[in-house]
Amino acid sequence: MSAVGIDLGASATRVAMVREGSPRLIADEDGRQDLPSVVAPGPHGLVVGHEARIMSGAQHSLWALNRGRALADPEHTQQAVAALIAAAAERARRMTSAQIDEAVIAIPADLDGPGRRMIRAAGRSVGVEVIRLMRAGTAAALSQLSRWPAPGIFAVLDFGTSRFDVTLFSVTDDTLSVLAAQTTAGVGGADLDRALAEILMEQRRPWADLSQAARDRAIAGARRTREQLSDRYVAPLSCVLDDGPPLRHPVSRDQMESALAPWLDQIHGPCREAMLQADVRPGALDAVYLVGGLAPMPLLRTLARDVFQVRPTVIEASSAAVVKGAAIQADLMAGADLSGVVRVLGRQPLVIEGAPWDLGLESADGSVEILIPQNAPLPTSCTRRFTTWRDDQQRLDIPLVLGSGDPRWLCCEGLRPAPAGKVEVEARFALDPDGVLSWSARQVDEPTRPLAMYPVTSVALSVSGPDMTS
Amino acid sequence: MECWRCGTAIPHDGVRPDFCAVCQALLAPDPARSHFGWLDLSPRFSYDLDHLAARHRKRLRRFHPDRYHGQGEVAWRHAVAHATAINDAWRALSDPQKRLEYLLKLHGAALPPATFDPAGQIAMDPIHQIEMAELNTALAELDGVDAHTERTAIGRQVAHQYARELDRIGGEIDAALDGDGLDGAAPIWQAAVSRLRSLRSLLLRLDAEFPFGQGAP
Repeated sequence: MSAVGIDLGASATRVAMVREGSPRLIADEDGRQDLPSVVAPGPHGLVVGHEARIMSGAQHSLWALNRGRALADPEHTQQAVAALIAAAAERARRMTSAQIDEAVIAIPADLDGPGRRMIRAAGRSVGVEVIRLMRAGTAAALSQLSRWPAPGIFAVLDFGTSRFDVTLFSVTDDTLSVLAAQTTAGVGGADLDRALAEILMEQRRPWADLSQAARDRAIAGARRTREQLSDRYVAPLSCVLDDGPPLRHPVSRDQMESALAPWLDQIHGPCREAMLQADVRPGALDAVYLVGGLAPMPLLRTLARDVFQVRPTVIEASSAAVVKGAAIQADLMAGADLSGVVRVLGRQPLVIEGAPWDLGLESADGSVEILIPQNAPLPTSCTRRFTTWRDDQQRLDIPLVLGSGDPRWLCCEGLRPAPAGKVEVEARFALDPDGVLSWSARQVDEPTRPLAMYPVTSVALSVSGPDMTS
Repeated sequence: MECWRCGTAIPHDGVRPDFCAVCQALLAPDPARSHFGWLDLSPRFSYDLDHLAARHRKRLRRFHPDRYHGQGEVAWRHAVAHATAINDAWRALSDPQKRLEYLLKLHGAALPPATFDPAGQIAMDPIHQIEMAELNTALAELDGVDAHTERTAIGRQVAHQYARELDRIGGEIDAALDGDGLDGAAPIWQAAVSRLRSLRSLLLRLDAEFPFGQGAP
């Protein structure tokens, strides 16, 4: 019985395991570490990874997931996620001959409650118990534990394919606690490559005139150029268009950076917000680590230094940081002694994850009362009392404010008929260690009375009270 | 109550133990325990944040469900309940004003919830009412190029006053706890809480730097 770490990334799924005291990425028989996060329908069920990528009509199912929400078709997404988890677990079984039946899965920081539940269900459907859902930024932080010289406050900036995550955390006697986490979709490597391709091609050929295939080739060309410009000052941009001779012209680092600057400036906001949330001033951090596929870009180093006033460290092979962190967590939960991996912390460090969202109540005038603030240590709960406002009111609608795909209202039914204001209901909201919300309610003067509580997406104005405008 | 694993009777005098004395199984948390109890602290106001944070981490290291993975569903569920209570206690006690109000509630105060209208609901003493009215007028009259500077100055002044009041009232509460005992329902505490709440809501409105290391409440 063993547990692995799985990173369900936007472009690639990776699997890692702690072996002989250090987290190791597990490659397949051909030495390939990345399993493309692509799922396609095949003749005998779903096909995943490299095979699916070369098939036409491949569905990029994890794209939507990495934008913080499940696809419009949840059942389909769950099947796709299940197929990827199964493929990752199967690879680990094959390559290590270990009995893999548990996994820690790294997820986008702002994935909503239904998305988190879906991943757990997907794992279970293929015989892999998801023992923890961990935000990608937290996992990346955990993977850097072996580098830390001393306790303190650190930041990890994760530049992924489709999103940017910044996580601030503190390390003290045996614990790693998340202080703040901010995430921005739409500023990942894929977005930059597309922007770069458009800008660079526009000088030769209008983007609108290109076929989809030529655009894809241009984006792939832009990615190669961007990667080369990480350690060179000039690199060629080459691309085969629909007609005419292949395009090939030099691009300088300056050219690329000025083209991408407006995009990358978007990371300032979330970084400042995170420092504010953690109550940390620029310059007060002990270290800033850059991870993810974009991390080697020199411009990002400059941006990170400007905003944090700390010289950042770029992690080599950094796209594996997230999955390695997940593998360390899996090993920790199995009770492993990690003194070889983790120098600063004790033998068994504890990772204290934070609430993914503010959990709030919307009041009649539209203001929000925060019950559980974002990044409050998990698991956590809160209770709140509500009073009836109409005679014989048997139903109460509670307006919630939280993740985008989470319920907007909780409806509580079965109250004792009584004059207005005479019945009080105590609702309890709880976030489990994976950040998944659950709820319950009881009538204060009759705690044993069975009350039904269920989510609804909208309520009629008449039931929600005279002044509810939502 | 009996231990869920070995069936040994659990003594029910005072606080329920966390573990079964015989088989060491993690028991269901005692619902009667106070926030202070969860952090293993005696109920009083004067604690510094670092001490509370260290205590919170120490308790969590022992009871976090990660530590009970693989020990079965029941132990894990109890660990989630323990860790939830510890985290909730940390949230309730790390904020000095919430800690102060909680202490009063433990000793019989019936304070209205500080929601939606934090300053309302409790009658304020007249002197404080005048003070607040003056501050509000000063704020309303702010105008022109110096408005931001003056606003910041007022914010700093209110933050200072708030911190001083908290310390003073907290000190009095601790003195009462050490002396003849605390009567949370006494009118002086009600007035004190209303003063703190109105200063705090003013601070939030001013968006002033909060006088504690924790950012906004």
